[in-house]
Amino acid sequence: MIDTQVSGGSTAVDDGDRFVLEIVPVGENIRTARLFGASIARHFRCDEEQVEDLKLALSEAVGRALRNLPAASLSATIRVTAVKAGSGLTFAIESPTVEEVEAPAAEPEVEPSEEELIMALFPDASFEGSGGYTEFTLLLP
Amino acid sequence: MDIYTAGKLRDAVNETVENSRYRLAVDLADMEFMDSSGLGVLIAALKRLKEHDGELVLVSPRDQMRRILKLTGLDKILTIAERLDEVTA
Repeated sequence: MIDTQVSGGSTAVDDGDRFVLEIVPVGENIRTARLFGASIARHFRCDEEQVEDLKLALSEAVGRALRNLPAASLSATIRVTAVKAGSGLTFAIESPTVEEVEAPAAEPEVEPSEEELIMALFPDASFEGSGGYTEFTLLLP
Repeated sequence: MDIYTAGKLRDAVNETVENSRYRLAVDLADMEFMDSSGLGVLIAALKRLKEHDGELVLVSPRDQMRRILKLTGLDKILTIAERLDEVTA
């Protein structure tokens, strides 16, 4: 197991076919999550289109978690886990228990939701709570 | 552009509109990534500019950006130009 302390309040763990990133819930770390996912996808030789899809889905999922994080949980971490199983690489994004919150004031109605975008990229995606858990699987080449 | 950085574009758009400039071109040539937070800002900008009979043009979006625009159907709503000189000519 390799446990690496990453700058910006992040920790990454590589445990063979299981990779874990824990980030403090600040906006800067969405990029960290994207880079983490992209590195793993490239490690498993995914093509760049898959990598871009993954980065977008991770950005949406971590953004969703951040946006809906209860104020009391700001000292907690958001965990991004990637597990290789067979020909799939499943990503799970977990944040502390999230209270059901009212939807934020709508910008324009045509703006796609985070869930819609993730589903468009990964139709198997599943969601729990208002941002507390997101999971989707990338099919490996 | 994500939830962390989208505010900068929102502020720039707001400043432009407040200065009564309603034709806006956003040069995306150097933008490597955009998620729904960025799209939300662009759509809000379009809506605000249209209120003043204005226009929003996205210039030179990269492949990732084109993909998300197509995926969301926003490529049919937003105007895209290949080069900045097409807009400024």
